[in-house]
Amino acid sequence: MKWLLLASVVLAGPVSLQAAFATGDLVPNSAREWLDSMSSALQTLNYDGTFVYLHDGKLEAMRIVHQAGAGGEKERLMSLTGSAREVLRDDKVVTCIMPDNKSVMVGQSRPRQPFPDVPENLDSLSPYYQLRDVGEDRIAGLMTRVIAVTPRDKYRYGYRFWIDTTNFMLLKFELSDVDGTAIEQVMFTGLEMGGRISTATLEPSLTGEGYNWFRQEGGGENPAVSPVQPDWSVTRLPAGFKMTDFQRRLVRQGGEHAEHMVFSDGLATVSVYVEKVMANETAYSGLSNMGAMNAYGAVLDDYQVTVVGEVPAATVQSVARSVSKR
Amino acid sequence: MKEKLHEQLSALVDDELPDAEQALLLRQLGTDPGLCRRLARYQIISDALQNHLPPQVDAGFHQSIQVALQDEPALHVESPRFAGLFKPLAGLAVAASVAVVAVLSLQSIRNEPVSTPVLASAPVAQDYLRADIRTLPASSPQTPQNLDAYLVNHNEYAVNRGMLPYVRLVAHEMNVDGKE
Repeated sequence: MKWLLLASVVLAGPVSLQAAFATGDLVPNSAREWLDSMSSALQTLNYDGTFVYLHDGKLEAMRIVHQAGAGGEKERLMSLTGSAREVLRDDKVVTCIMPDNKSVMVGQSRPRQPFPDVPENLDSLSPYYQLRDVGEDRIAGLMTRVIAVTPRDKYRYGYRFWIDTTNFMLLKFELSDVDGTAIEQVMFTGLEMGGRISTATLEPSLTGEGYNWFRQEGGGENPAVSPVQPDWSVTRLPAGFKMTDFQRRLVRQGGEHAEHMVFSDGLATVSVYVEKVMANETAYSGLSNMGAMNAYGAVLDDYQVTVVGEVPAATVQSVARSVSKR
Repeated sequence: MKEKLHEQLSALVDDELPDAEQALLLRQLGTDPGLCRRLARYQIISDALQNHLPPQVDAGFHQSIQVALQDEPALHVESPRFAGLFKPLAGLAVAASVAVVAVLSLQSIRNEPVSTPVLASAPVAQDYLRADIRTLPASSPQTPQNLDAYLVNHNEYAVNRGMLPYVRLVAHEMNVDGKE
C-alpha cells in the first residue's frame, strides 16, 4: 500500500555549499558545527518545499519558498490545508495574511539570530542543555545527520534536527518535552534546493483587499516611548533565563503601547508583554497554546500580562505570575 | 455510524482490523468512492507518520491509478452477488502494478542530473493530506483575540530556525484552557 504515498525530493542546480562540501572545506565535525551549518543553509539557500506539521495528534501540510541573494532574504510560508493563511517575510517586514478572520498583520522583521552558543556537552558543560550528535538517518531518501539538544529540566523543551549531509538543509525537526515525548514534528515530503525562485512564487495568493490591516510598530523607533528601564519586573524565571531585550511598542490593534521584555536561556525565548486593558476590552487569564508555543494571560490591576514562549506551559505560567510593578 | 466506519478504515491501514470485519469493509469500499478516497488519505498520513516516504513520485501517478481503476472492475465481476467483493481487490492489483512502473520510472529520473519540478506533486499530496484525523475544537469565545499579534512579534526574537516558528501561526490551531 506504500504506493499511495506521493512525495518527492529532488536536488537541483548547483549549490555553493555543495561545492565547498566536496572540497572538504565545510565538513562539520561536531554537533555544534552541524547546527551552525544548518542555520547558515536556512538563510543562504534557495528552496521550495512542501512539508507536514504534526502536533496535538493533527497533521497539516504547508509549503515554504525561500530566496536568498544580494537583495536579502525573501520567504513565503503558506498552508495547504484548512484556512489559507500565509506569512511573507523579507529583511524589513513580516506580513501575515489570515483569511479566516479577514485580517492582515504587518510586523517588523529582525535580523535572524545565529544559533546560540550551546556548549558541546559530553561533560556537563552546559547546566541547561546537552548537545549531541546522534548519528545518521535517512529522511525522504536523503542521508541526514541527527543532532539532539536535550533539556536538563522541565522548564524548557528539547530539539532534534535532521540535517541534510550534502546541503545542511533542515529536513526534519522534532520538539519534545524533558521526558523525550514528541510535541511537534515538521518533516519535508518534497523539496527542491538550489534552483531559481521565480518572483511569482514569492507573491501572496491573496491581496488582502477588503481585509482589516494592522501595522505593528517597530521597536526603538520612537525614543520618547522607549524608556531605558521597564516599569514592570519579572521576579521568577527558570535558571539561566536573562533579559535580552526590552521595547515599548504598539503590538496589537486597538491597544496601548505595551512593555515588551524578552528573556532567553540562549536557546529558548520568552516574551513578556504588559499593557493597559482598554475600557471596551475583556482581559483574559489562563493558558493557551499553538503547538509547542504556550501563552499565559494574567490580569494585574488594570493591566494585561501576557507571556509567550516556545517553552512548557509551567514556564510561561510561572513567569506570568511573578510579574509586578516596580 | 460514519465514525465507526472511519475507525475501521484506520484499523485497516494499521493492519489491526479483524478478518471478520475486513470483508464487510472491503464490500463497502467497493461501492463508496468517498470511502476509497478517505482510505487513501489515511494511508498517506500513516506513511508520513512512519517515515515511509519514497524518494520520488510521478506527479501523474494518482491520476493514472484512477484511470486504471475506472477501466478495471468489469473484468472481474462474475456475478452481481460478488461484485462488491471483487471490486476493491481488483483495484489494488491494478494499482500495485502501476506502482511498480512508477517506481521504475522514478529510479531512472533520479539518475539523471536534471531538475524535476518536485512541487508538481504538491497538489496531489495536498489532496491526500486534507485529512480530518480528529475533529478540531471550535474556537473558544475565551480565545485571546490578540494572541496572534503577540506571536508574530515574539517569533522575530526566536533563534534562527528559518520560518519554523511561523508554522504554528499558519496552522492556526489555538487551544485554550480558559480562565483559571
